[in-house]
Order: sequence, then C-alpha cells, then structure tokens
Amino acid sequence: MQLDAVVLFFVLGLAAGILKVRLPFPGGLYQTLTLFLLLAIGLKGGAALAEHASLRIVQESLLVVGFGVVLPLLAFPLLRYVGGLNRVNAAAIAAHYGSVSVATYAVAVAVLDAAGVAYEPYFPLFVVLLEIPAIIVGLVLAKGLSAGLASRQLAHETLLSPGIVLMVGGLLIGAFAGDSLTKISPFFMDLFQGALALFLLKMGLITTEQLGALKQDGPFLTAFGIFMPLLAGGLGALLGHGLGLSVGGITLLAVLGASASYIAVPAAMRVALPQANATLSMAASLGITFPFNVLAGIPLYLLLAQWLHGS
Amino acid sequence: MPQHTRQRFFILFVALINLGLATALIANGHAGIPLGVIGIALLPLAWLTGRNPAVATGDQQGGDSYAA
Repeated sequence: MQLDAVVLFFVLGLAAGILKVRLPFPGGLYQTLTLFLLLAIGLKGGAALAEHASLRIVQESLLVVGFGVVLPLLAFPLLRYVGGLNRVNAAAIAAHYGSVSVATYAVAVAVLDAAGVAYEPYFPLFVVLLEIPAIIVGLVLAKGLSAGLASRQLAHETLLSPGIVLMVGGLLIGAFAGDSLTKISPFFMDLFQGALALFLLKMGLITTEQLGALKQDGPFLTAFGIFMPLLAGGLGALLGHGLGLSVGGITLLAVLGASASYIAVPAAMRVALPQANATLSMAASLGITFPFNVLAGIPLYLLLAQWLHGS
Repeated sequence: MPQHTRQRFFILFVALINLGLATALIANGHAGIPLGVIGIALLPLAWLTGRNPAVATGDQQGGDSYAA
C-alpha cells in the first residue's frame, strides 16, 4: 500500500497530537503557509483561466454556485430533525458544510498530480465561487429571508474575508500577469507541495485539539461529519459527470462538495450568528470531515469518478 | 420517535454505509480498510447515544454558546 507523502505529513501531525508531543510550530508560520497556499492556488487558477476562458466556464460556474446553495439545504434538516440541534446551530453547521475547504482541495490536487490524473485547470475559480453561497443560505436558514446581507459588517466579512481576497487576488494576478508569471512561479508553483506538507503537519495537530470537543458534543455529529461528505461528494461527482468533466475534474468537484469550511465560514458566522456554538461546527468540520476526506474520502471520490467516466 | 432513537438509527445507517462501501472496495481489489474501520468505530457510538448524559448535543445541554 502506498500513501501520498503529503497525506502522511497529516498522519504525522495526528500522531504527534494524539501522543501530546509538543511540536514547536510557530503560529506565524501557519499563517504564512495559509497565505502562500491561497495565493498559489489562485495564481494557478488565474493562469489557467486566462488560457481557457469561455462561455462554457460561465455556465459551469452558475451550476457550481447552485450546488453550493443546495448543500446547506440538505444538511440543515438532518442537523435539525435527526440531530435535534437548535435552529441557529443547525444553520451555522449547514453553512460550514455548504462551503469548501481549500486545504482539502489542495490535498486532492496533490493526490491527482501524484497519480498523473489530469483535471480542468480552472478549478480554483470554483473554489472561490463555492465559498460564498452557503454563508448566505446559512443565514437565511437561521434568521429568515429578511436577514440576507443586511449588516455591512457581515457583507464585509463574507465577501472580503482574507481567504477570498487572497484567492481572488491570486486569480486576477494569474489571469492578467501573462508571461511575467514565470518570474514568480519557482516560488509559488515549485514549492507548493512542500508548503502543503508543512501545512498539513500543523492541521494534524489542530485536528486532535478539535477531537476533544466531540467527546462532549456527540456521536451524532461524528456520524454527520462522515455522512455529509459521502452524500455531497457523491452529488458533486454526479454534477461533474453531468457537466462532462474529466476524471480529475469529477474528483475535484466531489472533493469541493464533500469538504467543509473551517476558515472563511467560521469568520463570517462569528459576525452573523454570534449565538451559534462555534465549537460544534469546528469539531465536526475540522475534527471529523477533514481527516475523513484526506484519509478515506479523496481516494473514494477518485474511484467513483473513474467508475462514472468508465475508465 | 424520540430524538435519541433517531440519532441511533442515523449513526447505525452511516456505519452500515461505510461497511458496505468498504466491502465493495475490498471485493474489487481496492483499499477499503479505512472505511471499514470507520464503520466499525461508529457502531459503539450508536449504542452509546442517549445512554450517557455527558454525550449529548449542544441543544440538549441547553444551547450553551461558546462563541466569542
């Protein structure tokens, strides 16, 4: 059995966290790696977008946004009526599961690259597009239609969160830089896998911290954190197949559906729904769904994509 | 149907999905062990739900908010 080197760094972080090893991982380095990965993903996508821009991408983007609206609507009734969570907590967690995890996406890209599986290069555009709709749907589920984006602070947190600004900024730079992009590509492209490996080492440590919260807050959320990626990943794969994407593209759309946000949405929810229990959302998305996707989900979505594609 | 029974059925359902997927993957020569382990790990959680007051959801604890 051969595991991806990047994924093994995550396993190392998990093991260190479980064994309570005090790894000296500076907080500033974690923030730097996050910034690097967001910019690098945006730059790659922007360069691809400049090359492949077409009406077809616009149509696909609209369907992807629709997909982002549907996911929290599927999660909410499960959380509310099976899990018995109150309206605000159910809406907040649903918003996390409708949005995407850039780290999971980066791991999936690394796995596809290692396996030599091609994918549509403009996928970072979909990552950006899928960040926002779930936040709005989550708010509407919690507060009703009148809530919307009425608060200026909330609109700022949602549309101008650091993650979105960095990815959109990277996309725009990549799209308009042309050949001058080659000057910075040794830093942003060649070092990508190494930076991702270090980032995942830290994510393994953070995951073990979040698992503690689940000891108190429920077997249901554990099952939900595993069920939701399977459901959303399956739907994402079907959508990708319907859009006529490649095997890699179907896999990535499944991964985007299956992943749950733990950077952009928590920041927005802190402003929009301060009464929501942030520990529940983070424990499920980071403590359960992220490791599930990295260790078991991504290979499963790749197999599903190959099966759907008939290869 | 009581809340805990619903949760128990749901957890059992997710466990069975994972075990089913693991079986299908292994039967076709793929790595299904991680899903199998997850499925097996979920089974005792289904049994535990509702039996120990310490393992209740946030809502059942009175909707405590830990948000800043």
